[in-house]
Amino acid sequence: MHISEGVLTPEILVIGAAGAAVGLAIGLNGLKSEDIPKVALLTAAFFVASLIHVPVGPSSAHLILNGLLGVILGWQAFPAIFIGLTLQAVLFQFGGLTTLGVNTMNMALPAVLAGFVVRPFLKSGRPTPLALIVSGLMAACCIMLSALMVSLALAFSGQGLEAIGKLIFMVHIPIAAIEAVITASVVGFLLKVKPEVIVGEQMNRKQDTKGRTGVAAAVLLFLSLFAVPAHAHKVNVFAWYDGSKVELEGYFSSGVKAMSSPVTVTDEAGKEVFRGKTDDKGRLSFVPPGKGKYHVVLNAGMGHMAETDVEVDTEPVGKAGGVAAPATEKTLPQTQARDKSVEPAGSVRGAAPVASGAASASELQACVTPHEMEQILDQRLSPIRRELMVLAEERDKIGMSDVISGFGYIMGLMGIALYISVKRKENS
Amino acid sequence: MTCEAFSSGSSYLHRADPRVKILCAIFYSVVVACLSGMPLQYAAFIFSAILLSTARIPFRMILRRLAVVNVFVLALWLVIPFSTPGHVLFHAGPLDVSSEGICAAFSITLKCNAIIMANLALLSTSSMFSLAHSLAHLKVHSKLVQLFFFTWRYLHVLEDEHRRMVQAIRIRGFSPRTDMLTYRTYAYLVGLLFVRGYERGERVYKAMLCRGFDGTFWLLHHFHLHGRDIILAVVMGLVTVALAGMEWMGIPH
Amino acid sequence: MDGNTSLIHLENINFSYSSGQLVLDDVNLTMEEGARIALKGGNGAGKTTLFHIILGLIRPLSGSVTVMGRTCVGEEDFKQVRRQVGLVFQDPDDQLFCPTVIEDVAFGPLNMGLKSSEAIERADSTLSSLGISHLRDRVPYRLSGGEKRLVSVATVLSMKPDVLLLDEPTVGLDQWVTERLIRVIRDYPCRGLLLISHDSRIADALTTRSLVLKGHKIEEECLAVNSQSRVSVSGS
Repeated sequence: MHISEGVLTPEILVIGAAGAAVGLAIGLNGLKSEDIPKVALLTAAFFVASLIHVPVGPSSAHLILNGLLGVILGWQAFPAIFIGLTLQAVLFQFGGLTTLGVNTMNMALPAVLAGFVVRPFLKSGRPTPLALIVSGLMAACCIMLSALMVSLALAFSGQGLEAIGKLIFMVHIPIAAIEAVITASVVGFLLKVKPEVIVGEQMNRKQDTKGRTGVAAAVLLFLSLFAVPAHAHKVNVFAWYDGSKVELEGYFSSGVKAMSSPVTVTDEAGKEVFRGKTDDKGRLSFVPPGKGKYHVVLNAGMGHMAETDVEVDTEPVGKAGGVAAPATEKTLPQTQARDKSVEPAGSVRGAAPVASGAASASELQACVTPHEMEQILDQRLSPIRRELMVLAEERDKIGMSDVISGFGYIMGLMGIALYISVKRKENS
Repeated sequence: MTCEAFSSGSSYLHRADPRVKILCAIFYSVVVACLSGMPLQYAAFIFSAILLSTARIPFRMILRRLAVVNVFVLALWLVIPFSTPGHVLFHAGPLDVSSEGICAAFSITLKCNAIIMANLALLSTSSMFSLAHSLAHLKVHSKLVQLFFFTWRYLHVLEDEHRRMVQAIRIRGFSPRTDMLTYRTYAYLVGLLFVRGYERGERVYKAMLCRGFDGTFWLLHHFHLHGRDIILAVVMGLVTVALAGMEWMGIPH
Repeated sequence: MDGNTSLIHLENINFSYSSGQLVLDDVNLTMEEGARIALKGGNGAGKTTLFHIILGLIRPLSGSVTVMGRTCVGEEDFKQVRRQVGLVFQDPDDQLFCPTVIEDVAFGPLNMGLKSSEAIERADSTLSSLGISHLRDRVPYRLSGGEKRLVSVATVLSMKPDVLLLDEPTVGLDQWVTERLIRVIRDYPCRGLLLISHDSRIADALTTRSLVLKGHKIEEECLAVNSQSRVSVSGS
């Protein structure tokens, strides 16, 4: 579940690195020096175990086992996974140096959470059915959460990568089921054979006492991870036709405008009809050549692309003069853009009419009312527009429903597995 | 394991100070990962290729390594050109191939390979132990370095044990299938691996205590900067800064 | 009391695993100056446990450990013990963790407070006294089994312990390495030796007395072996 070099945007890389640094600091802080060889050996065991390929139908998958690692190591899963990934990056060039933070985060944070959930059930040190079921379920959740984080990291890094993110998420559903079975069996094995590994004498007592703060820290880390890119990174374009020209606006979901981003407009036949750049308010307008459906693409750089369709249902009003208008826009998109930008900004509003008024006062007089109208409407509509954008964004993301259905699927598989094992016991 | 395959050699890069190499690799990788313009990505790709050629690693081995990595990249190529919205270049059945998608896939390919070639040249030419040593000298958190160090040391031991266990179950007629028996067998293998790891960890610590260990790790090897290390640092630094500067100023945009 | 005259004195040691399984039941052991003792007993009898108790790696449930006249209670006492009593582990891989042989052998002396130049000097002389100077810069985990064993002995001898505890030192060694190991240990001027081994070659060559750990207790072994070992020692 590694993300390779060169795929993610710098923002995601930085967020991942920062999160991993926090996790590492907590993990290392709680690590007593006498436990270093033990944790290192368990890390090595985890590394070796992750090289095991198990058959899944006709293909095979390698074990991930981060849930198990979280159960055994708690916060020390962070350094352990960090080291495992560093080794893989240097030895096999899997993952990479720059993605080390993101990859560590994706795998270790769910592991730590799984550890917190499962540990209380294992305190007795006996392999009770409940303990095994919980550890199996959490192992599956852990994998799905990791897959979700990988998918989101990809999705935030470029629209084209979203599809890959979804694919990765789907692929991990059967893997999660296998991990659930294997983790439950390993936990059962360890509780029977050497319970100290899980309910170790010294290694984890410290964390149990600060369990609650630990959970809070992990959850916080988790939420902040999602909060930041979710609001920073999706770009959207919104276009509408007002009877004379098509106006469009590019936003990041945080509300930041997509400034001076190239925009390309094609007609139904795929022929390019317009090309320009948004202004420093993220706006642009052009007069369409005629009726029809147009495809608008805004490129905000770094693989962030937004597209939308706009329907021009009437012949543009100013079409007679419009022959010239697109031409000027093509050559002077900046002028056009600046003109537009003036509208919503109250402070500059007074200056603009003066400036253009100097050119032709009568013309200004004539268009003041519709102009004002448009402006007011614009202001009134902007929250709705934003709402719409958020909705559109939700639609594109991997929804909660996908996640829940994924878990449902795992539960079902677990159920089947349990059924089979019970049947077997009955037979023997 | 054949994993440290590139670490022995006598090229310029093999002899260079691993501390310098680590720092160069980190800064260079980060800058390349941030490059957005195609010309700069090309430049980085070419520079990395030149750098790698100075490491004198057999070409076939490099190709094999890169081929594995590029399987991931290939997967991206199978999706991104279709899933990225933008100017449609041509239709492939029900799917549209966009020029933006092809550009995005291409830029990922360039960046990924550039970084990986540089890291092969700079990091894989050192042994893991000397990298760990340099991390200690670079003042990385000592517990992290120790963990890294022990993990690497005992990885081989555990791998041997794992191999023997697998041989043992094979001898008794085990062949992996998609069924509960297989999964349970693997689970026991993994469990045993963890038990062995845990117990060995305890013994290793005891053995260290017997030799008077009290938490201090002594660094016996000290690295000395040579002229060649400074040259490497300067060249890598100049290239990295130049790339970062041009990216920042948006020069070839 | 009598602790002052003996090297190691264990009194009424009780130990059982956390699972409740009894390992040592009221074990007493006294090792006098110059004693060379072989400790025998079936697998899982608790021989290694006894060694670990002497060095304070695990603590007995009850009983006292006295080494060189010092009754050991806490970690600080045992730290002192570990400088005087050297333990060679059963598996050399447990002991050798450094990237090079020389670092591994110098690890103990460094921990004893020697300067790094002195420590390296000490390590080098230990290696040459064992005749394995050529392994100096090798990587321990890539050595052969016999080489690993000799290096692991070197890591202990470099600390110049007064008493040597050897835990199954000849497991998996060929005749030649075994003989070499015997020579090395015999030439080392230690004040006491305690050896766990099922290998009569090394036990006969190095020890004068045998104890058996049986039924959680220590017993003296029959004299036949004793006289034999005396012969082989005097014959060398």
